[in-house]
Amino acid sequence: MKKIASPALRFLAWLIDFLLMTVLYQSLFLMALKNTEPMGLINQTVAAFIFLLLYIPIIVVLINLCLISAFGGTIGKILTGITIENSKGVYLTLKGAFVRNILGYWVSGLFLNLGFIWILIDKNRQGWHDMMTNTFVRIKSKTATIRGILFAFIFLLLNLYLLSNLVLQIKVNQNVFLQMYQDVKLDLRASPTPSPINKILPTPMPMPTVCIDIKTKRSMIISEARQLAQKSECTNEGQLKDTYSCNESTGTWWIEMEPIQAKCTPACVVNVNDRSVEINWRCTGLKNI
Amino acid sequence: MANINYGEILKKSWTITWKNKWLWLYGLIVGSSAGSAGFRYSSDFSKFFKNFQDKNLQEIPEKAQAVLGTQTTIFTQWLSQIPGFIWLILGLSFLSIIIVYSLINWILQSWATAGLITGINLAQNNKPATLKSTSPPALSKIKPLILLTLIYMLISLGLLLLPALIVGIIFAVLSFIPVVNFIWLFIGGLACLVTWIGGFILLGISSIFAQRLIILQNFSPEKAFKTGWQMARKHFFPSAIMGLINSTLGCVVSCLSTIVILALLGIPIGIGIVSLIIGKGFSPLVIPVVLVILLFMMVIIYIFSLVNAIFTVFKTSNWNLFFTQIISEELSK
Repeated sequence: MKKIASPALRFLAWLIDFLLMTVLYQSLFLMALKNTEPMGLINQTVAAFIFLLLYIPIIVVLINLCLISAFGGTIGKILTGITIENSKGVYLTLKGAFVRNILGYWVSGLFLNLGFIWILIDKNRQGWHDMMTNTFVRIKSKTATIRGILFAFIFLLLNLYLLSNLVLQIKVNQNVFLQMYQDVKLDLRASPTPSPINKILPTPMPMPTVCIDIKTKRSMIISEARQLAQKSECTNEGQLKDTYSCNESTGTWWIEMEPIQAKCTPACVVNVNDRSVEINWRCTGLKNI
Repeated sequence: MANINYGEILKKSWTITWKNKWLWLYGLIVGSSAGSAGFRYSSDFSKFFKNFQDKNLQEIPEKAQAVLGTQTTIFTQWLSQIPGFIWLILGLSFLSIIIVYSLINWILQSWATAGLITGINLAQNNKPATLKSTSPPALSKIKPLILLTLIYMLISLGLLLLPALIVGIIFAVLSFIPVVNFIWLFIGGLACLVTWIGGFILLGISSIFAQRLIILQNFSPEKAFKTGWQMARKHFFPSAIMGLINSTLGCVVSCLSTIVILALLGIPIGIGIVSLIIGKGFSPLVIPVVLVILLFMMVIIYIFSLVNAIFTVFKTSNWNLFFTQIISEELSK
């Protein structure tokens, strides 16, 4: 008869499963955050969130059910050398795995996770989900414990590596997220207040915060455009004003300038596609020689 | 009419409920379904959330106008560039997840009902009612119980539509005679109401019997429905009294729980209001007070879900003992 797995070993198996999931989630987000283009970045981040919330849990649960019925456990359990068996020492069927891991986990987590904590109390180390299906978690291979610890450590390191990269990418893209947050905040706050003046005067158009080239569909947010303008020759010729506009046909940001020599009405033009910056002097009339 | 000793049933039920704590787990799951234990506070919470949602829904047109009217910010640009099929896929995904969740919940409810009734039956016969002893037989009863629920759903739908349809057709036929038409509307409406009330009470009682016939007597869903219906008709009054006792007890528990909740929540909320008045607006005291209120609410929710579970076990036990008495009387005849 195989020995019953200790709570520590089961926790290790759970930890491996958990770390594997976080590796998956972090990789997904990292892929999304690698995008430097604002619209693409937002699209992929939202898609990652939807995948994380809607599809991945279902996919992972289905994979786990198949693994339990075929190999007696999830990846974590396989790596730590423990298996889920019924009282006769046989692996669960798909139906049995469904009852244990879906219904059973639901029941175990229902009241302050007492069903899982029960593993520590019960002499057969059975949680409520085990009792429901009359299953036991037994040790298949004693040497596998070291393998389990090793894998847990590797996955932990991988998680830390991914996390550091994730933080770095968030920092790189923080302008886009901040802009998005401010836009949502401003848009939601800007509920029209019915006043006599508001009724007479036309509603002023708010300043755009993103500029998208109609042809290439590439985009750039205003804060990035301002940063590029600040670093360019524009600042040698004058000061950047707060007013700006987007020309979607040419894919350019036009930031108004206060010129040092008050001859023309120049603008600092930032190209959304190639990120190039140039001054457009916008001089009208005859030039004094 | 069956001679039922209700006092004895209640006393025995309480002993079973208190002694067999594993059954509380089943009670927790069965009790979580709407209105199973007559807990008013739960419906009050749902009302609160409904109001909250309604308020937010009312605000949507304004907000949507504010958001979508401009098309200039990064957020609105992003929203406007999402193709229609993505929304469709998202909607379908959410819908399928809700369906899957509901199905799992349905299976769980059926398992818990079967486990609870089996467990009470074991306890009645002085056998240990644990999760291990009750779960395997309960698992085998999930399918018949789901089928039984489907039967009841169909019958309920029929009961709801058929009288209204009959009244409607006769009303349409009599529409040429104005006075008779009006009288029919009154009589027909009244008949409809009586049919609904009587029909649904009978259906409710018969479903209680049918569940026990499936779980304890191994009946098929169809046979259980027929026998349950016959039993409900035959023993209508004693069953109605049992139901009335359960409902009254439910009302008492519900009222008491509401009073206790209000009293317990009143203290931290009162402290919060006082701190706001003293601080004249936002004060640093608000944050810990809000945290305490949230913690308090969590504890209260857990405590009352446990009370709800215990009451559900007690109520189910009452019905089980009642059913046993009815069956034994039937057999003795």
